Amino acid sequence: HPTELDRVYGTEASYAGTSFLRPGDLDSLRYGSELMNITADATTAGGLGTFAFDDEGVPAARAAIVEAGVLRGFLTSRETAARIGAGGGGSMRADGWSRMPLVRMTNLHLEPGEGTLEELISEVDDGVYLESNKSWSIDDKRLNFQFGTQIAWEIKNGRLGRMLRDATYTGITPVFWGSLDAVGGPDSWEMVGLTNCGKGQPGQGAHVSHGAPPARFRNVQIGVKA
Amino acid sequence: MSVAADAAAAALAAADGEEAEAVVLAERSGLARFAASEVHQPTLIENVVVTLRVVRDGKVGVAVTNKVDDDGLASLVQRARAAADSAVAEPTFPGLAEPAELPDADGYNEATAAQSPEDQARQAAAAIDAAEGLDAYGFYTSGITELAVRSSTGVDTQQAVTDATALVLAAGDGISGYAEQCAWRAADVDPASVAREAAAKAHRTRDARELEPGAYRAVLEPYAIAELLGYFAYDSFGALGLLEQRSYLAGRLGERIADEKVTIVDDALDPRNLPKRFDFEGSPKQRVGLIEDGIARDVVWDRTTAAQAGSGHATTGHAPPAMMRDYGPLPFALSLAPGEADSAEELAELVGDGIYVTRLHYLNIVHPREGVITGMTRDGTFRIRDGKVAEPLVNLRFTVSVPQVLEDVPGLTSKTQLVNASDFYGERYPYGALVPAIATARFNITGSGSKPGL
Repeated sequence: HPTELDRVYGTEASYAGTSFLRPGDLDSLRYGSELMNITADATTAGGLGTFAFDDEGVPAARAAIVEAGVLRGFLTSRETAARIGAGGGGSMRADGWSRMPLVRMTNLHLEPGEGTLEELISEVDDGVYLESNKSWSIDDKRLNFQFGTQIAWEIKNGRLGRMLRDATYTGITPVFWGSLDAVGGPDSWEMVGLTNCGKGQPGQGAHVSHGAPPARFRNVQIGVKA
Repeated sequence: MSVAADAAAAALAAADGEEAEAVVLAERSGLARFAASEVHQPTLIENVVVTLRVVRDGKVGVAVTNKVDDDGLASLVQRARAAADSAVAEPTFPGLAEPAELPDADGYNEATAAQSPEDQARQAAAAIDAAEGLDAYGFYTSGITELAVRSSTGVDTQQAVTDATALVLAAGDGISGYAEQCAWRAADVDPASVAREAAAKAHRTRDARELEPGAYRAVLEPYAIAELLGYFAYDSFGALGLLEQRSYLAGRLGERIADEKVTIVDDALDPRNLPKRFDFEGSPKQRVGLIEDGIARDVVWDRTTAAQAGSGHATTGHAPPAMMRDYGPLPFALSLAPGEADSAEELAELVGDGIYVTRLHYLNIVHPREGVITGMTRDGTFRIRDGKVAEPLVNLRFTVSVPQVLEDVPGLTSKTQLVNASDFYGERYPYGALVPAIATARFNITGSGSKPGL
C-alpha cells in the first residue's frame, strides 16, 4: 500500500490513508534488508491481480518495487507516474463500471531466496513460526501494523514445538523488513489471493494476489502488552 | 410504482411458475469527492440491481443482474434456475417469506432526492471553503435508494429512502482533523460546519507526541465508538455468530457484560437514524435490545437463523442482501443510548487522566469470542490531563476487548450523533449508528504509529 503513488500524493487521505514514503525516496530509501526484493507483476499466471491491460489501457507489466532492500518503484497511474517522470502507470483498476479507477496493487510478490522452510527454522533457537494470517490492521501511513494468525508454532532449538493459537505480531514497516534475515528458495514460493482489498470513496474492493516463500525476521514483537 | 418495484414485478413475472423472490436495489446518487481542496473523482451513479432467488425442490439458486429489459431478465431467470438445479438441498432453508404487516418508518426527503450534481458540488465547495486555510479531503454525497421485494408467496413491498453525508479531513503539514455529518434530510447536513469542526481539530494536533503503551481511561467521540461497535457487531450482535459460537454473547445472554449505563439496540424504525421498514426478505424491521442496562439480551435474527435455532426464535427483520449472506443477519441501525454529560469535555473531566480519541482507522477482529479488536486512532488524538483535553498524540494502536471498554463507563453525552457506517461499497444501502460520545475506564494502547497529517 505505501508504494501506491496516489496515497503518496495524499489523494486517498480521507479514507484509506496516505504513505510514509515520499516521491523523493525513489532509489534511495532503505525499505528493508538486502534480502528484500519485491515485484509488482500483473502478468503472473493465476494471480487475482492479473490482467492484459489496466483500466487506463496500459499493458500489464512486471516491475521492481524494492531491490536489495532499496525502494525502486511505485505503483502508479499515468497521471501520478508523470509527476515523478517514471514509467507510464499500469496499476489503475476500478471494481466495476460505476467506480473511478484507482491505483491498486496487482500481484505483489516477495521474490525467493535460498533454502527450505526446514532450513530457515533449523537456525532459530527460540522463536515462533507464524503460518497463516486471519486478521490485519495497518495505520493510515502504513507504518504501524498488527497481524493476527490462525495458527502458529513455537520454535525451540531449531525444531517446531507446540501449537500456538491466535498469535499476533506487530511492528513498524521498514523496521520489520529491515530485520529480514532469510528468504526461502523458489521451491517454497507460493501465491495466495485476497478479494476484498478496500479503497476509495465510494468504496471499491480489489482482487489482489501475493506470492512469497517463507521468510525469517529477527526481534519481532509477538503479542501485545497493555 | 417505483423503479425498484417495477423491476421486481418484471423479474418475478419472468420467473413465472417458479417459487421465486426478486429483491431490487435501485440507486440514484452523486458523490462529490475532493482532495487537497480540489474536486477529485466525482461519481454519479444510476443503477438498478435485481437479485432473483429461485427455489426448486428445496434447492436454492441466486442470480444477479442490472440488465432489466426482457432479455436481461430472461437470462437472469435461466441462471437462477441453473444455480438451483446445481445446488444441494438446504435442510434448514425456511422457505420464502410470507407477507407481513410492515411498520411505518419514513426516511425519504424529496429535497434530498432532488439534489443535482451541481447541488452536490456546491455542498462540497462549501466544505472546502470552510476548511480555515487547510487542505480539505473528503466528500459530500446524497442519493435515493429504493428497495423492493416481491415473491411468489405474495410478498410485495417497496420503500424509497434518502441519505446525505458530508465528510471532511482537514490537513496541513503534520496536522489533521476529522468530522462528518449524516442524515436522511440533506438540510440536516451542514458541510461548512463539518469542515470547521475538522479544521479546528486539526489545528490542535501540531507537534504530536508518542505515548507509552498501557491501559488508559479514555473519551471516544461518536465517530470512534460507532466504528468500534460496528466491528463488534459483525461477530457478536448477529444470530449466525451466536449459533456458531463466535459471538461474545454466546453463552452470556442474560448476564451482565457492561456498565449499567450501557444500552445498545438496533432500531431501523428510529427516525433519527436512516429508517427502514423491512429487510432483504421483506420481513418487518423490529427494534431489538442487544444490551440493556448492561445485560446481554439478544442478537438480530433473520428467518434462516431463526429456523436453525429452532423454537422460540423468529426473524427480527435483519436478513442481509444476498451478497452478504455469509455474515448472517446484521444490525444496520445500531444505537447506543445517551447519558447525562453535556459535552465530550465534561467526559474528559470524568476521565481525569487518559486519552481523547476522535476517529479510528483500519479495525479488525483479533479474537471474536472475546470481542477483541485492534486498530489505530487518527486525525485528532490527545492526552487528557487534570480533566482537560491537553497535548496532541501520534496515532495510537489499540487492542481492546469491547466488553472491557464498556465494563466501566464513567459517562456518556446526552447528545447523540448519527455516524455514517456504510462506506458505500457495492450497491448503495445507507446505514448508520446513532451514538453519543463515551468515557471508558479502560482503553488498551499497544503501540504508536504515524503522526497526524499527510
